[in-house]
Amino acid sequence: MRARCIGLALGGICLAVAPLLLLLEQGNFLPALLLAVCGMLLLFLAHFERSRASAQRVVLIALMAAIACAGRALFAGIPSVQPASFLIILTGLVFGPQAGCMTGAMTALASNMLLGQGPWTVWQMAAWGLMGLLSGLLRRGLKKHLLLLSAYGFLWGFLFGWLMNFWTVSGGFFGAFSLRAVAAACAASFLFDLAHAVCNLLLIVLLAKPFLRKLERVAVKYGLQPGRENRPQ
Amino acid sequence: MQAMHPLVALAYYIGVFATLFCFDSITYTAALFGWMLLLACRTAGGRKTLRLLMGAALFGALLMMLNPLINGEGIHILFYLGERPVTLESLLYGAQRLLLFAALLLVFPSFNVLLDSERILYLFSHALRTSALILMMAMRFVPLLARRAEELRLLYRQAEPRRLARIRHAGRLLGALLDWTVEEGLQSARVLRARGYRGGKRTFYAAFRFTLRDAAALAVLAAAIVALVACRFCGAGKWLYFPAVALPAFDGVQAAGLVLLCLFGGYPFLLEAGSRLLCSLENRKRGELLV
Amino acid sequence: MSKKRTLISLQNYSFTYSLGETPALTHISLEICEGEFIALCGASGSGKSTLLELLKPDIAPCGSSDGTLETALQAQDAAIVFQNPGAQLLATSVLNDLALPMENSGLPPQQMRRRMAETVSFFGLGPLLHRGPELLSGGEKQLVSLCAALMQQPRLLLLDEPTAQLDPIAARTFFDMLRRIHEELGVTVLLAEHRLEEAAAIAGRILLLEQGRIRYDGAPGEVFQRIWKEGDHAFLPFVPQAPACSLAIDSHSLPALTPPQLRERCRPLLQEKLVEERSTPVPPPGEGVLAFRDVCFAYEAGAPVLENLRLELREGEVLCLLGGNGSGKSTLLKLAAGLLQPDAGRIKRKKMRTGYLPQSLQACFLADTVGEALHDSWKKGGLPPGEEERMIALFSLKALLGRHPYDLSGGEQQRAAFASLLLRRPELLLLDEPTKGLDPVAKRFFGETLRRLSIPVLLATHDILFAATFASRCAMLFDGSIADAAPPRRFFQGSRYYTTAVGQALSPLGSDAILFEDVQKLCERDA
Repeated sequence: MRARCIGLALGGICLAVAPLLLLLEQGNFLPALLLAVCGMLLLFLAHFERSRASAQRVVLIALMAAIACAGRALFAGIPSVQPASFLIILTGLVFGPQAGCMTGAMTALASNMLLGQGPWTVWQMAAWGLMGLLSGLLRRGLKKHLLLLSAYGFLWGFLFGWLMNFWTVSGGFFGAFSLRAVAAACAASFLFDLAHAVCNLLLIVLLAKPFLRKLERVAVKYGLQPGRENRPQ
Repeated sequence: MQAMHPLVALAYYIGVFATLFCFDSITYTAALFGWMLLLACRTAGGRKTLRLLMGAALFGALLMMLNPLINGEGIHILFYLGERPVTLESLLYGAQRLLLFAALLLVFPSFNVLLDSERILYLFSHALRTSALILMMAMRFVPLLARRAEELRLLYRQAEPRRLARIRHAGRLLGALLDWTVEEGLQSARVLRARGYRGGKRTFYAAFRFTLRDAAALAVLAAAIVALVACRFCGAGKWLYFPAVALPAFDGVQAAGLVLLCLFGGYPFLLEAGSRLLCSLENRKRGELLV
Repeated sequence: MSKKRTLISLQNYSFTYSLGETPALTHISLEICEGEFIALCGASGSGKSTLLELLKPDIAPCGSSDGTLETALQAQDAAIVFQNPGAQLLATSVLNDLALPMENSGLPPQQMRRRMAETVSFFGLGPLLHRGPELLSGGEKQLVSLCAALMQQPRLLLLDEPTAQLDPIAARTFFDMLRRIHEELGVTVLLAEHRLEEAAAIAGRILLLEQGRIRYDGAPGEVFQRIWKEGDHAFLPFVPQAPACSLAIDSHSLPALTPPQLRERCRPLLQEKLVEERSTPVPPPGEGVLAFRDVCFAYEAGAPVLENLRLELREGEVLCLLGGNGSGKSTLLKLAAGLLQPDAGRIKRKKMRTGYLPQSLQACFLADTVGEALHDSWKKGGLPPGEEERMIALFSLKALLGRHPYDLSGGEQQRAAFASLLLRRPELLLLDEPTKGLDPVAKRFFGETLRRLSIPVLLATHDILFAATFASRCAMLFDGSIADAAPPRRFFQGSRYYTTAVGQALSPLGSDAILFEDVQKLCERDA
């Protein structure tokens, strides 16, 4: 088990560092970035494997990811509102950075496995994973002030879009990599990102309070308050 | 390739991604694009591929037009669009990017068949056991929860004209779905523990067996990829678009690289043809069958 | 006879949950020997599940215990199957689910393949192997769970009400498999059940629990006889029909446990064959409140669920809808509730407030506490202020008001959901499997409440005994249409499979008795 994790971690580091070599040769950024992101994800997953998650933790992460995927059916009548980001942020807030990141990555992977993979899979995993991770790390401050949390959710709407833009920009699809190309890509996706941001904002303002209460109850029931993670029960 | 071990398919796709990004010559990208198109048609069906291609064409055309507009580099100026010069270089570069983009998209229809969820889980589970378990459970619960969500929506249907109220209502249902699911999840966690999960050492039920045939196929594939990388370092498939486009001399290296690339891209077809040939040869060797 | 090896022995064992105030188990003394088949019975909350879980160390609940629990088993020697079919399948296909326990215990691939092959063939699950859990019926899911439990090659098999949510035919299939496992593999079985009909026939020993104590322990026949002689009201409802009837006829000999045995006991009684004289006047049918006129419905084209269905629900009657899993009962109720629209035909509904109780009670609760849910319903129903308290008292929900609805047990959840529904003042009730998972006492209470309401009720159920006891009319849904709707006695008379134990025993003799009360009547007439 340990050997496998160390192997994975080494692989992750290699993948994360390899892009530097590639960049020396002034090529596209896309393969370099792709390798780096894959390496990061691998590193994180290796860390998770090493933590020997309890059965409750494993089930809870799977369920939160599944709710994030399936929850959109409830909002079917309301265009461009999707609860996935909202749920991932809350998971990070209540269950800590590790669970948040894992839920984010698994949400992306599971929904793509069911709907069909595309070149965006890895980027989605990274973006949602980062969302959960950051929410978990910043949970103390964010949980206290609803205003802060709303702003944070709003910001993530754009951040998510920009992260997703990375692969088109770095692939040179908007011309050789330049600030102008970045600006063009972000301008092209502005409306989508705005919709995502507003949706996050609305959901947090309207629903964050009751959902936080619900999830805190779940955390107690599952024995999964953050800070007590990584400890086999 | 569907009959082979998933590792073979994985190696093939890693090779495809690597070669797609390694070579920036239009001919090379076009060759790969052609193979991806054929493979997509073969595995996922022509109609599905065509639909994807139509969607990609729109976005791709946009990219191709955008490129010369944003990108003013290059010396062969074709014409001016307003103030901006449109150069041959940027047009060619745009075309190559378009092909690359389309090829990237076309990788996935066949990828989804040759490396379907079962195979991905299998590959995943060797290195990342707990994560694979989580992924599998998430995939198992998504259809169930989607059905539950539908049931809740049906049960508490509300004709609420205001958008905000509708979101709040849907949020209440989402809360109910969460409570319901998570409560049942406690039981699932107990089941998981009862089935001996302790977080740690696990093995994996091998749904696929790695045979000698797979080993041979993998070895050939690896050799092809190594040879391609070697060609790349000798300068095959390398195009400079800026500052001025210069066609490289079509020498032996270029030709070898292209031939190798074509063989590599068509590997799934070669495998299929090869195994058919072997089977028929074997059949011929069989002695007389008395009925 | 050589003495069998003791697997587990409990001496004066008590257990209290870490958050509980009263002990869940008190002074349990019990020995479980290798190769026994023990049925564990008692009302909800009597400690059955607690006892089972304590015997499997992997999932033993947290709490303080007293007394000794000695076991000759390793952790992996005990396997458990729970009640809820949906929550026990965790993987994307049956194959993966069956592999899970072996993967967790780290078996080498070769051994896994061999064990998988032999176990799957024993269960005959081959055709289902690559199916996803969405495509399995409840009965199939429970069989898969049982098979997964056996993948660990356990010596002790624990089952926590495994058939409570299955229809009678699927439950019988499950019990047949259980019997084979016990007889052919010699696995020790400890089975917690509300329904003792099937269990009593195969169990060698039954244990009856009341509030965490063992009240009766012994061979099924003897235990039933003792309950009968002592007239123990707490446990009389748990005595299944067949033994109860044979004890009513003759309480001195050991009771019959299966319908054929009962038939022999009843033969002398049946000079007068019929309970009901043909001349008894049938009450005039009330006015129709809900009518299906040649209704067709399909979820997917080409797979019709209902075809030219005709059905009428009349004023003041309880109409029970029977039929196997997937026969379309739930669909019919959803159509009646207006949640779905028919593809063809008409559903005529009088304009009235309709109360609908879905099969999954969890969908009924949007509120965070039971009290809140009831208050919501009361506000929407517009009943006078005292009604809420009256309803709380009637369904004894006082202690549960502050609890979250999902923290309740199945029976409590059902009471809360039903009370909340009644507070909305319905004039027509549509109930989907309302007796699922209820113990006999709770079931009787529910049936009597329904009768007292005297509003039209359309009720889908698997529970034949409940339908026979409380329905005004029964109807069987088969192949997309109603085969026949008739009062229970006429409906069940003459059927061999889909009827109560008494019906099974006596209908070949030409009798129309279907209930315990009928047999009692026959006895009185005889005397």
